Amino acid sequence: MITIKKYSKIITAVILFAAIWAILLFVGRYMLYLQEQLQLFQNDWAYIIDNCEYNTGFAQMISEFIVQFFYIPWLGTMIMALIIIATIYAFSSIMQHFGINRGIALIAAIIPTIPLLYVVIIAEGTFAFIQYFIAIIATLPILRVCDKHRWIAAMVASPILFWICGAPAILLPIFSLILAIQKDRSLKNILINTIPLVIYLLFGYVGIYCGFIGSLNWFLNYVTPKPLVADLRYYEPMVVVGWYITPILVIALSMCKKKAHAIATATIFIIGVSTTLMCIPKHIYSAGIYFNTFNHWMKLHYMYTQGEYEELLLLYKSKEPTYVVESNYINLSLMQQGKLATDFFKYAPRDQYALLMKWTDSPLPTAYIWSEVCRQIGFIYKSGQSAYEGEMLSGPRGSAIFTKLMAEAEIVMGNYEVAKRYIEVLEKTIFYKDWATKQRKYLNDQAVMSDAYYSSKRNCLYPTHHLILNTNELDMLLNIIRKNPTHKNSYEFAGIMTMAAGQLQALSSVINIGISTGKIKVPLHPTFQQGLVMAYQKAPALYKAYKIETSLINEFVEYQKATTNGSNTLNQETIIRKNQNRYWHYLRTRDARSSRAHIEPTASQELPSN
Amino acid sequence: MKRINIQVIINIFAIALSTIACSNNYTIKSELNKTCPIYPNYMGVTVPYNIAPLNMQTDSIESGFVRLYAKESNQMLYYKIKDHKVKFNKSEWHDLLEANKGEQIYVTFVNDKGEAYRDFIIKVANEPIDKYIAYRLIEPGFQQWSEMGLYQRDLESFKQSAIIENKNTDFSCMNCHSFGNRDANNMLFHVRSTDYAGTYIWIDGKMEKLNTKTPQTISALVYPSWHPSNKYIAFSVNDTKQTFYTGNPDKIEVFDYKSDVVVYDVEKHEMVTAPQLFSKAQFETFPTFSPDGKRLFFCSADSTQMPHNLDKVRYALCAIDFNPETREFGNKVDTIYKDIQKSATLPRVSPDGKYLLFTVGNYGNFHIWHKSSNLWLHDFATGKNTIARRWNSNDVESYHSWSSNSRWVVFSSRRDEGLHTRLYIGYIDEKGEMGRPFLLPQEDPSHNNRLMKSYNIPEFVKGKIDEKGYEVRNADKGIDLKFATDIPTDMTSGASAKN
Repeated sequence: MITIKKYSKIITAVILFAAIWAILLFVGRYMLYLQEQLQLFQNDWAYIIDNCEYNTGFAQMISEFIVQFFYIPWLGTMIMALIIIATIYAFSSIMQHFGINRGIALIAAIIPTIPLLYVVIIAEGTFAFIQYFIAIIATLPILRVCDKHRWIAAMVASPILFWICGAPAILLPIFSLILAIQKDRSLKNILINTIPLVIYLLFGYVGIYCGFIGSLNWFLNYVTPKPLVADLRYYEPMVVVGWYITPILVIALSMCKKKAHAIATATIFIIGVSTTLMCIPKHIYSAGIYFNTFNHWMKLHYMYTQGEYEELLLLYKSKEPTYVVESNYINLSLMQQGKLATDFFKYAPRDQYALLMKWTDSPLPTAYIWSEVCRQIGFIYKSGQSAYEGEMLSGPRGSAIFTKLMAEAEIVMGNYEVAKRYIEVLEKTIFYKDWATKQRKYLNDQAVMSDAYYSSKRNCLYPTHHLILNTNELDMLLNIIRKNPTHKNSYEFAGIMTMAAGQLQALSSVINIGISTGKIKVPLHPTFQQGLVMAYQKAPALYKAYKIETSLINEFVEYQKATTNGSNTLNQETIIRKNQNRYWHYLRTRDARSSRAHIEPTASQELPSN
Repeated sequence: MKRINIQVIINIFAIALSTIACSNNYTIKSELNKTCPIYPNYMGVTVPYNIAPLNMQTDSIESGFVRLYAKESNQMLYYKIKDHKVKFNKSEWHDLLEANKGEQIYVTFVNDKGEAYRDFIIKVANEPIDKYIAYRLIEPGFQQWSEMGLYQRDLESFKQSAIIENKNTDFSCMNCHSFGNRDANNMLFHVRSTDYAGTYIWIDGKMEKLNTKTPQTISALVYPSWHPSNKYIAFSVNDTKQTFYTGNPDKIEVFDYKSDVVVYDVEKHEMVTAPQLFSKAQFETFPTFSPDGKRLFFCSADSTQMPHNLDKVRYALCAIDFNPETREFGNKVDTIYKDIQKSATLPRVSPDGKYLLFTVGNYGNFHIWHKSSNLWLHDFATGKNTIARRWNSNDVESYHSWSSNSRWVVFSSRRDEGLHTRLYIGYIDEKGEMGRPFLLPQEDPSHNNRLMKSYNIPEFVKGKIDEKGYEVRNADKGIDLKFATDIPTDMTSGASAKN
């Protein structure tokens, strides 16, 4: 018992850490992985200095540094859990400084941390959390400065801390003031200790956002950071609980006598918990969306980018995809395995958008899927462009995954100097460095043409003067097939796309162009044979020319009879079930399915250029 | 005891100094008969004497030194190469150039074995350059943008500061910054999208926000050019579309379905135009005033079905008289340049009125994305149009602006790696002889290799521009522009007829 009491602090910390780590790992791993995908931290002094020019730039940089480890979920979540624990204990320690007992201080520290934990997972708020973390950690040593000199330390540190971490820096002058009042309530002491708060406001928000400092003179212009309005984005209630309500609680506690601690404790719960409760309706709603949709496609994205194609397909072995984005990841996985034509209709596709969703303005999944699909089918220019759009949508410093796709596209297109730029950026990262360094050898035509992957993509390029505005997707695919008929994914994608859209005449064009190159031979892939069975049902003589299997023709005829005959007999049901994966069954049921085809996490918006 | 300690410190200091002195052994032991590849390539460039140091880097030498030698003043300066880079001392550099106006500086790269590469020259012109340039930094993107901003750069140092960044305006697009007589107090730019949308214009430092779309015009005001009196600003109005190629080195295409030119009266908040600038049969765009303010140059092409005939659109360079007293235009349009194979855009007249610099590409008007585009020069004295060979490259040269003394031109070029535009500064003397242009120098010579943004619309400015973010964020709803009531009736239907 004595031993347990001796180690109670450590045990509490370990339990807290384990709980937070478990929450992050099991609830938020895919969301955190997404955060990593949409940012790009570089181990580069110039990059670091550039960042630190802005207020909150340092916090942003630390946040980006940590987020890069989310690439390995267990490691990233562990680091984040450690930081959260450090924040809780630092906050608790601050409150103990005000004479509050350890247990209450710990509870008071956990309350504002819980909403921040939510912010980290759901609202991509690692940056917001790091701002708070820095403010707390920096405040602790200042509060330990002797009473006489504390206001000077706080006055110097407040504007610097504002520069480093933005709004939460206000905790420092507020805590410093409270501590001073607690010790000496004379007017002189209060006025002196208010100076850090005035300095914070002068150099902080009032200064840079209201232009008071900016226009004062050149010197102050130098010493105030550049304003970053984005910093204001995190003023949502959940964060306010942590940043601003907690100091009020501390005031309440510190002003209370020991006997009044019970009232103070109640205050913590009433204000803290009720503020959190106020946020619940909104966050239950967004959390609901998160768990139902975002988390799911984020999981698919994780599996796909980690090469877990088989595992991804297994998820849909016995269930239909709900969202078109799921179908896209399924079909990307099929393309990776070279099984698009074989298995496309097995995964209950609804229409051609199962192959490539409509463009939306969300960087993931849209930009990634567009870029990745176009890369797979050899439409490299569009792959590069979509990656660039994703890069722009990702945020100010871009994204490693899109930079990687852009580098690859530029290598294929022979723009080696541009590709080199992207490679140099990726070489400054931890997790993409090896890939980037390996690409350096492909920065010349000879190396590209002697590499199986790059040469196959290079052979798909077809220089034209056509504007996308004047060209449809099928024309582009037909050009690629003409240029490189051995590029399996282009041919299969074109064929499947026309079939999924029910455009049988277009399917014939794809097949005929393939055959005309001499590289595509009859008999065709069974799925395409199914398409031709339907396309030429009024010209059965062509069945022979395309060497279509008689069994397929018979199956189609049998199915046609079964479905056109009005009565619903047991035999008919058996025939329909037998044809579940056949194209004619898909076409017959397509319209019923497609009503659910475009339920997507974000509002769909057509890309104007397409 | 105290005295002994001080003595010891002095001795240590002396030893340290002598060690440093010994390590600075700038001796050339032998000569290599080859040039040292450097970035940026400053070999043979002509520079103004007040330009910031031309810091350089080389892959060939990791450590060694660079010697700067000026024959006329018999000055010799040495600088260490550290980690492949050489950075010159700013004050020594300025003193050297100041003392050698009109002369040449010989630059020699020497490796750590004392082997000297073949030297090269940097020519120092007699004329200074305006102290600042303003530009936009933006990713060379497609449809989406991220961070962008308008910046100014002190050309005598390396100091870059923001005029306004879109971080302050909810990540809006901002463009077409322009200055009246290169004066920092007379400026305008547009902010697109978000709540801050509008044209922001400063006259003698006082800001007005303008809402520039009118029922008569096809769009809000677009490409600007100030009248030398600062009382007028010529603008184009453009119904513009951006699209992309399916497989073409010119990745992006921007074209106009329709376009016209108007002149904005700054004092009356009115617009005026003329049938020759507002014709349904023509695309008129990129206006610019002559230095005396009595001529308005613009580009004009036969209107056609777009984008179907995009590659057949050829803009000619035209001029029309303008009377600043009456706001009236002449009846006759003069053609300065017309080529059935080429398309001219972006005319800019030198402040001394001798030359007109413009950009020529194979078709269309958005030459910043056309690999074929080059700078051309029209000589008003001879009436001849010639390609500015010394300034051009195999890649894009596009937007340009003249310095106030007409001796320097800053222009954007994609010559470095084909994607990101960089700023080059070219020299032209009184006789029209051009010097080899130089890349805008940076404190860290690898800066341009790291920067993932393009420099856009470089404009010379004589003084420092105040930061504009606060004023833009706090602007009122703005002034609605209108057409002057004396607009000819056959033109008032311009927008509706074209629609």
